[in-house]
Amino acid sequence: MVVNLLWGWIGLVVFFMAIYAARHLVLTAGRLFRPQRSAYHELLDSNEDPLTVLIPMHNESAVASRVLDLVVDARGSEKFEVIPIDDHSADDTAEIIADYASRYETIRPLTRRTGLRGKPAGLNDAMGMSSNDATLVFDADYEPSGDLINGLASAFADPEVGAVMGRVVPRNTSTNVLTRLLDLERSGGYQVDQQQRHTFGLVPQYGGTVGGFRRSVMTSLGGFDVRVLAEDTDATYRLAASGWRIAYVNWAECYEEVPTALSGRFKQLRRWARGHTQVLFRRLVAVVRSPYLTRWQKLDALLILFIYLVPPLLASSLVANTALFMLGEQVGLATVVLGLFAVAYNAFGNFAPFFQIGSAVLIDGGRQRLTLLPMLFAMYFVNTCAVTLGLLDALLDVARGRAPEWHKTKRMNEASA
Amino acid sequence: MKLAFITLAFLGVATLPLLPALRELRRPRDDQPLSIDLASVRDPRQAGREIRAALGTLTGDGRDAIAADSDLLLDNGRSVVTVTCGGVLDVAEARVSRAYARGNARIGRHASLGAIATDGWLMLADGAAVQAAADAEEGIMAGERCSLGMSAACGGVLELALGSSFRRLWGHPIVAVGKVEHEPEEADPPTIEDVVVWGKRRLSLPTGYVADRDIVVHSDVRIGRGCRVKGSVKAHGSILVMPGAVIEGNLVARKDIHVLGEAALSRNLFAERDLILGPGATVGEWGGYKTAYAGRRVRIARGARVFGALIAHRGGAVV
Repeated sequence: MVVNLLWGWIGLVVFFMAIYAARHLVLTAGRLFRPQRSAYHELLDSNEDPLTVLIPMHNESAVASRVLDLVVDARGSEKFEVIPIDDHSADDTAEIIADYASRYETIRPLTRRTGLRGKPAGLNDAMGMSSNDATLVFDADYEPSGDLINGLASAFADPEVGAVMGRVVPRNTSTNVLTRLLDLERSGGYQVDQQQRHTFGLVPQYGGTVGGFRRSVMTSLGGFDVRVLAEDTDATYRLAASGWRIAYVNWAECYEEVPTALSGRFKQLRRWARGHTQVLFRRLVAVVRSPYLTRWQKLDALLILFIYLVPPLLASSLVANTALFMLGEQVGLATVVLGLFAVAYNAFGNFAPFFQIGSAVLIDGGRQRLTLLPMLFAMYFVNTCAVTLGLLDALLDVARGRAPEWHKTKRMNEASA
Repeated sequence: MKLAFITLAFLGVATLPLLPALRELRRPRDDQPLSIDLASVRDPRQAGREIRAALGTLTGDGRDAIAADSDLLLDNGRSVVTVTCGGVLDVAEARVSRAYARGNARIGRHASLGAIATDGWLMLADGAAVQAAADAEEGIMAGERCSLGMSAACGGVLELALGSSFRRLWGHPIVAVGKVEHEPEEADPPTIEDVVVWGKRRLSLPTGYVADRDIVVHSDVRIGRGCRVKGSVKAHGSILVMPGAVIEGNLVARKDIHVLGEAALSRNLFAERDLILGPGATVGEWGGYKTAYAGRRVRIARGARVFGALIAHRGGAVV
């Protein structure tokens, strides 16, 4: 009985893993060999729609000046405003913002000292004082150029686009092994995964850090959900289930700072897994039942929604395999077909994410950094632990009816201070 | 002993893939972030600025480049360069790939060069070709069957004659010149599509219909004669715009955009496949700039005008 259950469980895991592997391979092959769908950044328009840029900040004195310097002159003041959101900062962030507001009429600061802290709450408040429909959001440690801002905003020329997302590029790649591996992961995630989802007409993810949305649409959907940690993922599936498209602009590259310490990365991933799983619980039915999504879009959306279940699933199959071995079961291959499947899966399935990342790095022009690919295997164990704990957090959130507390990833200069 | 050997052998084999990584970590050769130019600006005349920057300090002719203080005439292919400076004619045997004229420039019949910038007008005789980029402060006049290479941009009017080919154009306006031959009105009797808002395989807006919202359709769209659409139109198929239609918003098509006749398109056109601008079609208005973009090919008929950018990723032609 136990043996049969274990075999059944392993079969189920292999089935799901094969689907994910196929997804990786199809996206990678599409990115490598198919013509890519155009993005709207090519559109130059002398009458651009008015634009608002929101910059959520919580204790961002180390980076506030940099991001404000970059965005403040992106456009003339007539059709442009920047709203830095000082969200309960205890450092000099408020003074820095006030200084810029006194010098630039485009800057209209929002200071939050009461109410719920966190990015979604801040964005909701800022939307309330925003003057324009087209809205872009940048995290405070990002470095958006004026050209990137206008290129991203061009996506709203498409009346079906509810949100737009640009590409995140790590700036601090050379800091240590971790930042170099995260750089590889980001390449695979954006250069191949997001871009090919855009090309295939699937549902690219609005990531909330270098992107934007139509204020009228987000407001009509009730604003950002302050109860979820992954408000960006939540927004993605609410928009998609309501018929709006998410445009991805690979050209719109923006520097960010990735965690430099394993502990920071662990916490970040745990928080992402927790937030993502919350979204899975909340939006699964809406996505499945949406009349606006095609079958392929729904399938891809489901695979993304369930993606944080993959590491614990894989770990559980390893445990099941070990248990079977201890029980004296031969992990043999019953038939030729099964044998061929196992060989094919070992050759392609297990390495599908590596194909994706390797292809992305090649497209980006990377060469020597490709040699780091095998080291990503070590990250698997860290990721599995973080994601599994994140899942447990999400399950406990549901069981206890508790609301998660917002935490910000520490900036490099904060960590070293 | 045997177990220890097997264990060591396994560890050795398992470590092999990591050796190049360890080498890269010890002596990094590719650890810099992807390059992003934070100062970059989407400038359709960037190529011209680069030519001026490269050749601006050059006087006379260099190895493969020439800078003229006044007018420049390139004739007979790359072999003979004629420079007129203050009325004095200077003929040089040179192989010119790049040129910069502080006055006007004329490229003779079937002559070609790599790139050219002028501070005045640029005139291309029939069959002349610029392979990379052409830029003129005043305007560009291209004769029949000219090739305008990867990009051609100017501060004023950019005229294209029949058979000219291009990829990226920038002008105020870009005009396909030549006699417009008005085709006789369609003899087909009106259909239900001309009378009611109709949909089967495509959404059809009837003659004279006024729509004051954005339109999103998961099939083709036909915008009837004299229609006025005050918002933008997005089609997951193709968009057909009939003569006399006025579109105040953007047109976005996952397939083709086909503008028949004298339609007025106030904002941008974005076709993921082909874009066809019929005789008299106008994109944008005087005093501003818009973009007409095709992910594949553009065909522009004589009499069509674009104020701003005309982009054909896989090439465009005047038909």
